Amino acid sequence: MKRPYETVAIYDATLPDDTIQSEIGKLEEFLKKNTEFEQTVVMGKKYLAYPIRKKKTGIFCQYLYNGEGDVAGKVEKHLKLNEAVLRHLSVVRSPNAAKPVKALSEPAPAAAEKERA
Amino acid sequence: MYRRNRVRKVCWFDQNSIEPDYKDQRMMESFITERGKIVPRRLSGVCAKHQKQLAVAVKRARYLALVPFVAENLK
Repeated sequence: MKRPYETVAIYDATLPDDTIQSEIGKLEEFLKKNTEFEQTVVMGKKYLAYPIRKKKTGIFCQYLYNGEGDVAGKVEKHLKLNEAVLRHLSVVRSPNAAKPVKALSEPAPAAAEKERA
Repeated sequence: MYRRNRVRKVCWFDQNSIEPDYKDQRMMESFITERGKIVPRRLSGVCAKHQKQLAVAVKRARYLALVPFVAENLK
C-alpha cells in the first residue's frame, strides 16, 4: 500500500551553488527511480536556530513522494551517505497537510515581540 | 463573589482550518515562548487535538533547526 511521504533535507549553504543543484538533482533521480515522485520544493536559504556541524545557514529542500513502507529506509541511507546534507527528516504526510511552504528566499526575520502572560 | 467574565478562547487552528506544519517557521515561533518552550493550552487556547499535533510539529522543527531548543542566545 502506497503512502504519501515527505522528506526535508538541509544542504550545506557554504558549498557552491552548482554542487547543491547537482545534489538536489541526484536525490530527485533516486526518488523518481524508487518511488512515485511528486514534487521538489526548494524552501531557500535560512538561518539555523542553532549551528549544525558549525554551519549557521542551510538550504532547505522538501521532497514529496509516495511509496511502500521500505522506501523511507532507502531514502535515509541515501541521505546519510551524502556529505552535503547537514540534516534530514522523513515523515509520513498527514492527509490534510498544509500545501508545500513557498520558497522563502530572505533569511527568517527576528521573532515577533510576543506578549506572554 | 463576582465572576470575572472571561472571554472564551477559540482554537486558532480550527478557526483557520489548518493543521500545525513544522516547516512553517513563523507559525511555530508564534506557539513557543521567548525561551523556546511550547506555550501551554491555557494560554494559547488551542484545542487538545491540535495541541498534540503542535507539540510533535515543534519537536520536528527543533530537530530541523527552524526553532531553537533553548533560546539563550537570542539574536
